[in-house]
Amino acid sequence: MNKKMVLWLYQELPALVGKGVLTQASSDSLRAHYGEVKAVDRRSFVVILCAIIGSLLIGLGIILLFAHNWEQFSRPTRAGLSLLPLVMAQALALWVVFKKPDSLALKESSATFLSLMVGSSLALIGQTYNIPNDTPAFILTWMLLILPLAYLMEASIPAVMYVFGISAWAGQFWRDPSWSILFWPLLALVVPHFIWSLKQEKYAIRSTILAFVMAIGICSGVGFTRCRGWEGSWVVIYSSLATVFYFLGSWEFHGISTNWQRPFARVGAFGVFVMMFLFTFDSPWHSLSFHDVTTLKPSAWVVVPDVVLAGLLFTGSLLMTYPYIQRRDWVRVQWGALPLFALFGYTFGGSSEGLVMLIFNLYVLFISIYRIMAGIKANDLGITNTGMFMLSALVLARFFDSNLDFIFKGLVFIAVGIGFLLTNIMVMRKKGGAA
Amino acid sequence: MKKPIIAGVFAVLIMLQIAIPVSMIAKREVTLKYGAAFKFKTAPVDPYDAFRGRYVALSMEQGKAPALPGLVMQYGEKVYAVLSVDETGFAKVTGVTRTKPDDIPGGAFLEARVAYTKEDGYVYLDWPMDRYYMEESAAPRAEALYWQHSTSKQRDAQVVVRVLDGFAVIEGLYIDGRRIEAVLKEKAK
Repeated sequence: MNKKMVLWLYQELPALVGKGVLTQASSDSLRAHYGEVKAVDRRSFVVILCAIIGSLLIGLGIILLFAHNWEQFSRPTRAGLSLLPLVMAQALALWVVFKKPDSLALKESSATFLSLMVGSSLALIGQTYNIPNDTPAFILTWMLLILPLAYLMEASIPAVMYVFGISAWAGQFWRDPSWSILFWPLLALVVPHFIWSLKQEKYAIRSTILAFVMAIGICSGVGFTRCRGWEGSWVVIYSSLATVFYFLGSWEFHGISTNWQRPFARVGAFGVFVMMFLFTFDSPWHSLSFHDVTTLKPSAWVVVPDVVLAGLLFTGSLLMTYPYIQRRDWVRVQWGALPLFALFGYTFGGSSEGLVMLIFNLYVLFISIYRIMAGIKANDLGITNTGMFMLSALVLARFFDSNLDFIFKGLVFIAVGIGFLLTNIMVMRKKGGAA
Repeated sequence: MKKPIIAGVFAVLIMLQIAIPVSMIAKREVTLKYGAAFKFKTAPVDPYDAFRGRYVALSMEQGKAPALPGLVMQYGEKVYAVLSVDETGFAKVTGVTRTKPDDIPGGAFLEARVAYTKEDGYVYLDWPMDRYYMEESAAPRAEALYWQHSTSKQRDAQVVVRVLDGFAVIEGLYIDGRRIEAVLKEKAK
């Protein structure tokens, strides 16, 4: 139940009891049923946010000041200078942990500052001693040195930086999966913090941001660690991944009141749409490869990670769709069907490109119209608008598609237009009948 | 977590956060102090790094060495280049090995990566020295200065590197035999 609605109900209750609509007993049992609603303390949130942004800016400013490169200082002075902000940040963090352990704002901001100063120190030493450019080593050293702060200081910004950092690290090896595959054990190191944050109620925005970052991290991780030994596997892998995210995000968690608190659902839904939309074009099917280059020599084991990923994600997406079939939640089932369509596309896309494209065009068309209708029925403008957006994207894409001839396109446009008008008339009549 | 545990783990983390930078400094200071000096010809170009500031990218010459017979080198493979000094006073690679050479006095060998190999029997190396950091306004001027010099036929930009036990640290970038910082300072006057 939406928190805002419950709060509204609680506001109304005394008046309802006063007017005799409800008895005091039923009012009490309503309160008992919905439980206490903690109002989000906006002020404390703003304080935390400002503290984090402030320390981020100061930290980045210090990095920039050092990047200027102060030649007038001697080498030993510069070596000392590179450690100075680090030691100060450590002292600050220690003071916060032992003297102000209850202040989320202080913990997050001092952990953020210390995380940046670790990087600054490593960068400045690189500058002073002209250390050769080894970006992956720089990133990984930095990230491993700040990850423990997420646990010791119960701070999530270091965890966020860590996820972005290891994604960037894996990206450096995107052509060499034998290295980038280490992304997964590295990501596992941050998972306990993520789970801990999900269990924290008082700071829901924390878990939302972390979940969002994790979702993005996992997406890039899948991209960078695929071995690309199996051409076209991305068709199944990304479709299934987006679907799995979508359903993961649809799970009920305590205290979730808005869609923005479901980052996995957001990222997943976006991914599902991007994939199905992409599949309406001919380019994915032309050759089922997607810049598939790797430095690994073709051998049997090269395809193993791709097969494992595809197998796990595909099965997972099917298993997660099944409960919604039982519940006849067709809106969700339509999205959950993407991996099946993708598998079909992967199997036949090479030989009968036209058929697969047609099916995906009809699929997107059907989903968008279904959403528009469902939104109108449920009086939910959000659903209608996303349906409209999907439909407009599809229409625009086909209008500018140069691979179809004008007569065909023209006829399809007219047919869809007539369909629109007919539905419109039907909806109007229905409304008129109801009035 | 209990406070004593947090304190203990925190202490370890802080020590690591300090120890890694300090060890990075120490290794380079030792090399600069005790390493053998080698001169390499180079061409500096001015790029930019968001974290570490401006530098001149060094494109080194002498990245070529005769491959040992029967040794097939792969791209990116870590090798050791044995260094000596040629008649013009610059560093010269006399050979490339896969295993760390331990019988060379003064530790005059350097870790490098294989860039490519050619039919001519030579191995081409990527040197571990690729950046020379400079004050932000100085780096572009350094590049301009180098190009002025290189048009006058002889290329006289060189980087002096200290080498100890396979590890290299850049000591300085020289133009016309003088430190580039000093040349730039003089030009600015």
